[in-house]
Amino acid sequence: MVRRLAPDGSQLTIDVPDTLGDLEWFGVNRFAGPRLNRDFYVAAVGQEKVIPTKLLPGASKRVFSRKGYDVVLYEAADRSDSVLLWVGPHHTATTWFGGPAPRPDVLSKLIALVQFSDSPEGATVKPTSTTLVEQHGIQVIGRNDEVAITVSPAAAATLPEWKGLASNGREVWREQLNTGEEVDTSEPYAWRYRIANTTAVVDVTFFSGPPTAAEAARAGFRAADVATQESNVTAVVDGLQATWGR
Amino acid sequence: MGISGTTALALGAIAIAVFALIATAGVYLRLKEMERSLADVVFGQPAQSIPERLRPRPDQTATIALALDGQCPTCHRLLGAVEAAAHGSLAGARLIRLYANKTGLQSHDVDTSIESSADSDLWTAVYEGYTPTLSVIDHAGRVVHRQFVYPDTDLDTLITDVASAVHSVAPHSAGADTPTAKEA
Repeated sequence: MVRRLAPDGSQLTIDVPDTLGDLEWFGVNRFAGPRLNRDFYVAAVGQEKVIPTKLLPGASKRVFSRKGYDVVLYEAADRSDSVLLWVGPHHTATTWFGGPAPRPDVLSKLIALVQFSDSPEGATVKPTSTTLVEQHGIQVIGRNDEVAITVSPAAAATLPEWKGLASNGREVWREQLNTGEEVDTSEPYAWRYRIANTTAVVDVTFFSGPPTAAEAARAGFRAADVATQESNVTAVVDGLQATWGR
Repeated sequence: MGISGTTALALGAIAIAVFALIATAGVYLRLKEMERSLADVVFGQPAQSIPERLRPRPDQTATIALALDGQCPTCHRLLGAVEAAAHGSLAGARLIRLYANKTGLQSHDVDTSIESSADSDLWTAVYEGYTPTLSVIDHAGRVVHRQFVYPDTDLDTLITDVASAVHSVAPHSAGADTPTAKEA
């Protein structure tokens, strides 16, 4: 039973089958307001180290220390991209600007609009004013090398019009994965599974092969055979329970 | 030959226009400067004042406060690393380790020359949601450097960074400055 905190403060309880192994958890929250459209991505702390080393090498860094977290602004050396991070002790929230960093007064307005608080179960990135800014598109994502699980609140999800498989108080649909190449549709991993109950909707996608040859060469990665695929998919379709609560 | 009335009027109008342009440019520059300084105040750390008991004494450079709990192995290693550097790169600084309560202090009962305290007021002043945390505090009671220490943090680099933060702390005679952003 895994407990995670969604970026809007909701409590997510999810029963992930043991055969899938450990998952790394991420969160997404989106703000919409007057002249504001911003996506925030929450990841475990340490993931942001890739920004100055790989994504924006040579970027300039400004750090503003607050009680409990740091606000960090990276701007690329050629000012082609910039990113604002809230680095807490357990998680980091990021938002990208896709261009030069905003002016200090615009940046301070944005920082004043965001309320960040961290905990070992997840970080919340909420607007300080819910009358001005609406949150939408909130997701909690768990992934590892074999599976990606995306959980959203039931109120926000769009479900197919036809009835799905009823199982254990949930409804299950599947949709063919469009990977752009020929897949054997008899393989269980060629489908995306959507599991909905009264509070949460879970999308489960399995990776049937490494995306690149380089990753294929990585030690320990084996594409699952059909029998393993079937058992993993059955474990998920029968046993995956998620509760999205306040 | 004097200037005719019309020419004088035209020259006067031009002079007024130039003056208005300079005045507008001046106001605009002043506005930009104010925006910049306002942003610094808004971004920067809200003035949290560390209690007097934690601040360094006049003959010390800064206080290095460790927020620890008695159980985590990282806390033990951090304490060991700080102690090892106490007379080396961290000489001149006041070293103190803080615990949430007496139980934490007792379960971390190691023979050390570093000051210890289990006072809850000092703990709330320094604790930022994670243990172990290392904070460098200057004479004005401001936290100038705060670092969360993870199990995979390189302690040698940490001690070097802390030592340079301690050396960059303003000496005791400096008054209370406005908080500014650190530029790295």
